[in-house]
Amino acid sequence: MNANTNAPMNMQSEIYDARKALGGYLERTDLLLARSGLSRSERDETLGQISEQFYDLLGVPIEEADRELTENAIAGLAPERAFELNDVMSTGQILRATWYRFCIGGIVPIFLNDHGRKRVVWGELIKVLVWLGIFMSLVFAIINMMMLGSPSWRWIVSGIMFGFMQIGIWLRFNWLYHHTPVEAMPRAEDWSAPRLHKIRYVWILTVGGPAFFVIALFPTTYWLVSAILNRPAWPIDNGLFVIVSVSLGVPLYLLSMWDGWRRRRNTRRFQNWDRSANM
Amino acid sequence: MDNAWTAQLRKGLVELAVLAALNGGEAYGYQLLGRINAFPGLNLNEPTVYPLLARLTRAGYLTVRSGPSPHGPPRRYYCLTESGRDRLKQMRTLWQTTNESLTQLIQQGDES
Repeated sequence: MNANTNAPMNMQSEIYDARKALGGYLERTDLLLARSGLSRSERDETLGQISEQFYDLLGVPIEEADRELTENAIAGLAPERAFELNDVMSTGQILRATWYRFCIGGIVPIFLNDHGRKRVVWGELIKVLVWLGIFMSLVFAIINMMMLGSPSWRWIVSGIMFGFMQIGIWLRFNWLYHHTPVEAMPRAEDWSAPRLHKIRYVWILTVGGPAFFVIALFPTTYWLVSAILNRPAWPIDNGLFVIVSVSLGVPLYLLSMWDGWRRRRNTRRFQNWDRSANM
Repeated sequence: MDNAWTAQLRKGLVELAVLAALNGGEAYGYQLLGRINAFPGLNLNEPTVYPLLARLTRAGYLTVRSGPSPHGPPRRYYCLTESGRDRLKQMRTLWQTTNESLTQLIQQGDES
């Protein structure tokens, strides 16, 4: 059913719905493709093709599309879940998928499905966290060997503790998130990917960040630096405390600023692309 | 039929199908899907074909040009390059050899 030209007020809202519906579909698809490790260019190319397909299915200029036409066109596209790709085509894809899941908060994909229920892939969460713990333990053991010449039980244990503390933090964080009442969460179609990222990012900063810094990263680094400088770790040396705090705080702050900038840039790019797609 | 086996078989043939479909002339993504899915049994979907188009373009097997669209944004038309044609030729030869051999093997098994 086309919008009636005699109903401009109604048409305005319907135009907004058509653009919003396409934007929402593309954002969620982009999220799934990013989780699958596709590069930005591959995602842009894919989203561009989807957009073209949407306009083909719509059959009329978007300015004339009403809700029914829009919904029919969206229904003609592939189901969003189909974009959760399992095919691994390159090492780069694996690295991108791992990085994305680690940094962007995609470790636990929490969405409200069409029935308004949360969907959490717990198996994936446990797998990623266990690997993370093992990986961090290995990293610490390697750093220890490089700096001290041979592994000592103290550094290996600290590495293991460091890795598994992160598991604890992430489990706690995700437990909190998982137990948010369903009523308090918007439905999937109202919850765009950038918003989801933003909320997760705020959670990471407010809960995960300080916990990670205070519980795990700071003591371990302080211990490491004191051993390198051959100074006692206890009682706390004020000078060393300040040095470690600054040397950790500044890079972490810069990292978070960079990540925030990158996220905003990607969102802007995506929005610009979406706008240009509607020209 | 074992779903995993079917998926693996299709996965291996997607690139050949896309290159073969483009051998008939340039096409935009959705048009290409229609061209492929006109043949029963292929049934390729968007998540499989669209990222592949990006990969094949990056690998130099396809070129892209923009063309007008009646309603939406400019369409991106994909076309085989010389390198893409060579790859298609190699893949087709391998596929034909494999297909013939496998068919003979199956027939031999049926006859005995």
